[in-house]
Amino acid sequence: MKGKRLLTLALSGVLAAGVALSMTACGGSDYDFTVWVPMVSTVVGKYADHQVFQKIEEISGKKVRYIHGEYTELEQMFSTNGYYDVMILNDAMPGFQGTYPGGIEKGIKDGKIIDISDKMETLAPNYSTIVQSEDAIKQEALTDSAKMTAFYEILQSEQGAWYGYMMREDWLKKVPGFGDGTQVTKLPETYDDWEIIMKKFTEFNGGKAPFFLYSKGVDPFNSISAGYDVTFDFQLDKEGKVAYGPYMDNFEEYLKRMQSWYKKGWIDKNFMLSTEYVAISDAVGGMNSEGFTEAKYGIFTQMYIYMTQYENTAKAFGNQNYSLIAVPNPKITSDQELHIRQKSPRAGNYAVITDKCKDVDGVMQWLDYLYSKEGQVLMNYGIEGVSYTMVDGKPYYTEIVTQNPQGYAPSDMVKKYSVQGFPSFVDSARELQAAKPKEIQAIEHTWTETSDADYILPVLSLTAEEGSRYAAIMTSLQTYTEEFIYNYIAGKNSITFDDFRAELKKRGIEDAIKIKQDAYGRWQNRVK
Amino acid sequence: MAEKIKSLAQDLETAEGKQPQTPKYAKIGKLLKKDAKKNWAMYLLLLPAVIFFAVFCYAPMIGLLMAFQDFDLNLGFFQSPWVGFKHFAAFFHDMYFWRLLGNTLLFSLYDILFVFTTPILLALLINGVKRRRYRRVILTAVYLPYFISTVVVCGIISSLVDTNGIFGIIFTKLGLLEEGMSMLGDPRHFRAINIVSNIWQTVGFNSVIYVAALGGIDPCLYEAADLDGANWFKKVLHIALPSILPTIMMMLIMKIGMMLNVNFEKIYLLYSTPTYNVGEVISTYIYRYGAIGGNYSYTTAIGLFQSVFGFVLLLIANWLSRKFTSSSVF
Repeated sequence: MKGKRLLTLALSGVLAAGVALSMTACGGSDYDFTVWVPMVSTVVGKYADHQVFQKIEEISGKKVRYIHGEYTELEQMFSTNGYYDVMILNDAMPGFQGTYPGGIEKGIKDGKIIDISDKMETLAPNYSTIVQSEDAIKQEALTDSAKMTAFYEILQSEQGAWYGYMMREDWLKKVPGFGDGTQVTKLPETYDDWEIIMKKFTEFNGGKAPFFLYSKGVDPFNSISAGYDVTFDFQLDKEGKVAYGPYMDNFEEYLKRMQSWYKKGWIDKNFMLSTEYVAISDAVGGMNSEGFTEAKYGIFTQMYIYMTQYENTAKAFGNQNYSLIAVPNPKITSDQELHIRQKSPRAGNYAVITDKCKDVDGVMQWLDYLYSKEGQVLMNYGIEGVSYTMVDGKPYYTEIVTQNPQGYAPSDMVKKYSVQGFPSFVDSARELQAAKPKEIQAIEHTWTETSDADYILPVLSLTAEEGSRYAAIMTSLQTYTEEFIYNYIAGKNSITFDDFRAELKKRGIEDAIKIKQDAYGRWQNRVK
Repeated sequence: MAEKIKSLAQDLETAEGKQPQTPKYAKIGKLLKKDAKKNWAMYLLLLPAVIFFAVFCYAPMIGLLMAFQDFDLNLGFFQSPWVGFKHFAAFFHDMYFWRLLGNTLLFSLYDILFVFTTPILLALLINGVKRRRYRRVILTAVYLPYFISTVVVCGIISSLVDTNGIFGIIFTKLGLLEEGMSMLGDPRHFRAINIVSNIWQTVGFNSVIYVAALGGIDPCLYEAADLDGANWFKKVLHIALPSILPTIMMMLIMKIGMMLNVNFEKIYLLYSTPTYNVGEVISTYIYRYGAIGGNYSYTTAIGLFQSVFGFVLLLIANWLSRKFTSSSVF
């Protein structure tokens, strides 16, 4: 009996302590404001433990509570009032919404996002100077009605294409006309060049398909269809008008080319079953598993940072010859100019201040510090002596980032020791410090100099009404397009390309194009 | 004359008034009260179940209102504009309406034809095994796949039917599959893969109830049949099947009630662009466009349509069962 009473006492004690603790947490006395930020990666961990954010707290004296979440929760958070003082959003997330539903301006109209545009110049001088400095930045960092009301993560200079095609260098060396057996003498330029190579690569690959095609029939940045001036999404045409790639004349030419490659066995017959994640592991055969097999493909798209990662993995699994080389996107004729490639927006993730925030001015000043001379170095390179050292007045990453003793990839260490995806003025070249010469060649020359990005549509902002009309049209059309494209490439279509286009038209594709065109017009007018 | 009528009417009124008029519901209420006093412990036991259904099954039905609104998460249920049957009309005109309905019904039909019947066959076979220990071992062995998670099952399936998987190789050799192709990419095999793996997964678990029902049959019946010289097949036909018919019918009706809820997870995990044509069912469509695409109102309308359609099927099945086998659920 006595034991029982003791237990009861102990339990109620625990309960009381719990209640008391949660009370203090609700009281909010232990922090100044909250920031919601998407989880970056497990390697980086929580921002509360991040060295840069700890340093910022030390300097500013403001205690910030960081809440990590997923973009997919956003819509619900905003609708149930479960959002925080500062929200880190992104408009350019493919496939799902990373923004306030209906955009920043809708958020201001709903009263949930605070319009801070008139205080920007006085309270955030560093940031507003940066935005005003260039039209290219202004265009992306202002809302459609030319308001500067969010703090964007801005690139200091335009960044090269960090995504494109790679080929097996050790195989390309042995293809007559492109290599002399010891080194690559000429990079392929045209689709015809690629066909010569693929024929050879099929032999080297033991008769298996040498070319990796993404399940949707194109890679995420349309590298393979660039030669035909078409993408798989909305884009700009040669007159600078908005167009829908699969609805354009040239699209069938592209599909025909893929169909012939499929027939020749150069494309895996199961290409539509693989997801993007499979692509990465298939390319070198199970990157992180013991079940390493020989590389399945000789030609595939990937980010530049994966070049050395793949090579190292292949070597670790016993394929000493495995090496990769970046190649430009293919064209139809060698004197053709390319206009489609990966292009990073100058303004990426952004912070908005919500009506939950009690100290708007304080938060603005706190955010502006990140754009000051001192803040820029802190955000880009971290702490002096730990993650960077000054050489001739310029910061350079230390080996903890470039050659991590625990074997982490430099790209992850850049996020861990400096900051990515948070309002700041990003030194676009910082990551190249950790890159190998081959990778720098890819991002600065092979992928970037061979093509401009004139046909790429910028990140547009649809109004709430436009957004729902657009979704109503596009949801079923997207499946329809995907199925048509797959069946065309696999040679199984029962309808012609003209039938397909007629169906798109009947289902309102031209309305969708109009919506995008209007939004693009507003985007162009932002800097006028 | 008029007076007479008046007095008659008055008589009638008073006659009616004299009878103690308690409305029906009051009577039931009284009965309930009395019963509750007597069996309060039972009601207490029932309470958690009632709360469960109220909170998790009935309260969420308020969400169905969305189907009649242009639902906006920011405005909520009460401020979103009402649009009547707009979303239902849109679904009936959807370019995929017939494909979705057809696939859903086909999957359901195959489910009943094959997945529902095999446990009965298995139970009859197991019942034929004389040694109890063998019987138990077999039952456990076929029972186990039920406990493997669907995701894992789908992983197993995709490697079995892959180009290098055993079924992939066999089908290629037989000329039923294009060289170098996974069976999952071939629309001809998609439904079969689904149904066969469904059988493998659930046959053991579902046969347990029939094995139990078969165990309850009076052995005298079999002895009598033996004396008459009936073989195994005759005994199954004339003794075993009729004895478990009520069980079968009940399971069937319950199955039909859930018929349109075809195995969503498995289809979703296995299908891809080439097999949308034969694999997309109402529930996967709802998931893709509702949960991922954010078209809440539209997909709620589709979901409601599916439920109503399923309910009608259930009523028909129940009525048919009552008429022909005199056993029914309600």
